[in-house]
Amino acid sequence: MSALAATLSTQEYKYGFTTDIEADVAPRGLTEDIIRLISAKKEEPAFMLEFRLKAYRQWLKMTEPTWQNVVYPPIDYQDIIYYSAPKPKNKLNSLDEVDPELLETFEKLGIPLHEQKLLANVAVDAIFDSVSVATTYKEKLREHGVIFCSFSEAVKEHPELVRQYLGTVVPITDNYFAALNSAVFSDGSFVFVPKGVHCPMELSSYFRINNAESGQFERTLIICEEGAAVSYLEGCTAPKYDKNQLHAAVVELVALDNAEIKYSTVQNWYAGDAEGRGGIYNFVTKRGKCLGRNSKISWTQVETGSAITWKYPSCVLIGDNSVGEFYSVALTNHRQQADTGTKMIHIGKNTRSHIVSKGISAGKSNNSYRGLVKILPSAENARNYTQCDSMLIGQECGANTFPYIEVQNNTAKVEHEATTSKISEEQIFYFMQRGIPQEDAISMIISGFCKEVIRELPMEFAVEAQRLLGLKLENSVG
Amino acid sequence: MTAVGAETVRTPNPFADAFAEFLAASATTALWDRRRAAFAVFERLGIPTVKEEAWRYTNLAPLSKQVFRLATADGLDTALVRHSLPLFDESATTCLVFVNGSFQVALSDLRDLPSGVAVTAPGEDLHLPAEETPFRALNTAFVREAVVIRIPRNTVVVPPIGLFFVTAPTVDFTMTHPRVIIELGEAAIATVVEIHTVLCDDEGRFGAHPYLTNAVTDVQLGQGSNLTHIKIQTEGGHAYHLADLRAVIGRGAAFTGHAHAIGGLLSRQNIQAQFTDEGGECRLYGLQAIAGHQLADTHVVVDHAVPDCTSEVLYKGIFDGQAHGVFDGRILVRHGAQRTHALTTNKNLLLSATARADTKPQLEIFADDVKCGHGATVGQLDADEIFYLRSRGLPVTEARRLLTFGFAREVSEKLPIPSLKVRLDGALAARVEASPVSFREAE
Repeated sequence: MSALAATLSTQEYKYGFTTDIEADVAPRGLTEDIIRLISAKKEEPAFMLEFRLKAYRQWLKMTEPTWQNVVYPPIDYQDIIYYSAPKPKNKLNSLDEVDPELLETFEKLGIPLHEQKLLANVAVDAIFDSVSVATTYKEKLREHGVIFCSFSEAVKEHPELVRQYLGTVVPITDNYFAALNSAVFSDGSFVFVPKGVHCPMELSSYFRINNAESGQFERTLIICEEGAAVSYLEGCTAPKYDKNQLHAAVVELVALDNAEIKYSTVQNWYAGDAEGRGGIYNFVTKRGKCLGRNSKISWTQVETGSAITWKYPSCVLIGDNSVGEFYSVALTNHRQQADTGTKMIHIGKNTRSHIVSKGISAGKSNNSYRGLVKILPSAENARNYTQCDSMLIGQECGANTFPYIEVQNNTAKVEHEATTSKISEEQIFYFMQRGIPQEDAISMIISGFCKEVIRELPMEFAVEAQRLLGLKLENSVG
Repeated sequence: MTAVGAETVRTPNPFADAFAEFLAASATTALWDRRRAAFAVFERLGIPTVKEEAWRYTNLAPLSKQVFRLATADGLDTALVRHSLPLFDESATTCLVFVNGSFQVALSDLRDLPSGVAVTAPGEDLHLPAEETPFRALNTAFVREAVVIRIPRNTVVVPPIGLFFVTAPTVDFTMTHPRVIIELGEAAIATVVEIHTVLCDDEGRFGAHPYLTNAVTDVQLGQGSNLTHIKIQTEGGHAYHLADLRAVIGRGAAFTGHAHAIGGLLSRQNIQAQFTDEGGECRLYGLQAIAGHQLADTHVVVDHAVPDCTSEVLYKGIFDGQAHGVFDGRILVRHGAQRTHALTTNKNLLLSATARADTKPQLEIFADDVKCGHGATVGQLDADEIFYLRSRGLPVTEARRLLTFGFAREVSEKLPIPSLKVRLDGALAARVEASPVSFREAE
């Protein structure tokens, strides 16, 4: 075994640089005044302030959850900066007006902000610290009636839509971090695809935490009307700081009749160093509501970053014949902790859900799958299939599976399977005797292990995700 | 019944009065202090609520609203008990019978009892492990007579040792606290059958009373020993049955546990198996077959603390009416427990539209050279299979019965005692036949 024992490297975190940009920063701490300040800064209508204050008062009554399988020192919520925005706050009309330093940052991150990169054919909303800095391809999208903009813009320009849907999927009372987010969220993305429109291009958000002491609280709301379809990607990075940073986002998806939403995430927040210093606490609430008949929501995630990941992208299958999907790869190394999975709540008739979760643990990390499949009495002929595979690399990591299956309808068919395996010496030996170096061998075995999930990702993302997995595990084995 | 005082209203404890009476009636010894300490543990932990993860599907709130008294065997009609004892063939000459918590010498047969088996009132030397759960603590506080089965090294006990815990309640809300201690010496082999049941007379008057059985079984297996433990629970239709089995499995020892839950209004079986040395084996099989408003809950923990051990858990549930089945199976593979093989399977059959199954198989793995897996399913009888049988001329009820039996067979056929297998099948048949045809396929 010792030949394969983990000698862990400190794989350089490529996105660990900081950008020196003057920022408009709110004072530390959280009070009603801060919330009023955020709301005022964003020139929000009264209903938004009301929503925030209600959430804040709710949050005060709640206690931080402790049931998840992660360990971290208590968070001082009064020591966080709840609002940080790049300074030149005048309204931007085109990318030419964006701070060149900022553009350079996104350049370094490999995000095709420049519209001339037509080949990429991806509309991007870039979020820097808490504020959306640029959204590309707006015009082209507008032609199709698709609204893709920052959340603040949506609040100003489409308040009726925001008001109608905000908090309907993740209510402010949902959980501690969702309540916190509802009170202080500063920006995020908003997508609205009208009836019958298939969004002509992939939509994408890039999130970047830059300020050392700010938390990032973004809010994403995607609405797909009858017969509409959209594919949305998000990517996340953050600089290296010794201090832990809190990221508590909320994502809400609403799919009406025959609508389809595909939501893909490649999460590569800074994970802390090999000793577990620093890194992002990624405490996120993501949920989709299949409201309409025949609607479909599909979550695909590749989670490689964050010191602690705590998220359960879920589907509430209300409409008859609606479909929920969850494909996940969660990779943890060093001292990372991940407690992630999904919830599939079957309410409508003939609802179907499919869960594929692949967990890879290396180093001294701890990786948990936690999932709920709930079939309510009304969900006639519901169907679920869940597959959870874990891979352990080294003897000091942990892989856990905590599935909850609750069935209250006898016409339902629910299946759950989980396995645990490792990369065996025989497999590596086989590759090596064929002249393939060990690193490549591991990368290929991991690719094979994750194939079912990776192939669900849009092409560009799939390539990036594969590369990321390989990078993260470099020198973990052998 | 004495009135519930103002104090007990403040902190409801359904057992406080009974405990005070019990203490007053027993001699003041070291054990007296032990009981008091245990009861204090129970009071501190309290009756679990659904807010606790281990009890999220099983609500004990109805329990805490009652006042329980220790059951007594006074004035019992021995002839009636003898007549309706659920003995099985193989146990005829080695059985210990407890009625309402007290040992019945006249009903027990110890002819083939191997040396070393003893039934004792818990003495000063009775070693009881520290309590971590409220109901274990409650058992220690109230335990009256414990069955201690000690099989010396290299001893093979061929006939199964039958333990019958029969409740014949004549009033509501009585309780018993059976305690079984099984210790196998090096290379010893034995089979122990625990049957928990309500006394059945023709009028079924005993089954109409709600009562509580709070059983604890402690198993200790020496090197290379082999124990088969079979538990069949057919308590009364209004009974609460809480049971906790803990097995400590030594080097190269094998533990096979069968636990079948058929009776009771609410039953909970905890099984915790722990390997203390390499090469141990643990196999746990169980069937939950319930209907009406019954609830059957099984919580299994297999703790692989050392390398080279194997565990297999197979539980099946058949739920009809508004029955609610719960399964929670946790496999823990600790650091260094390499070459562990662990497999958990839980399959559930919902026979009615209102039945409910909650299952939660868990894996917690901290070693990389292991083979672990679990699977869980919930579903109903296959319409195609029923159609096939009907096309062969079988009535729908018969088709259903056959398929349900087939489903249960995988577990029941593992029972090593033929007469018990027959009895289990019989109980299952009664279950299936008693339930109305709630099937869509049945026209």
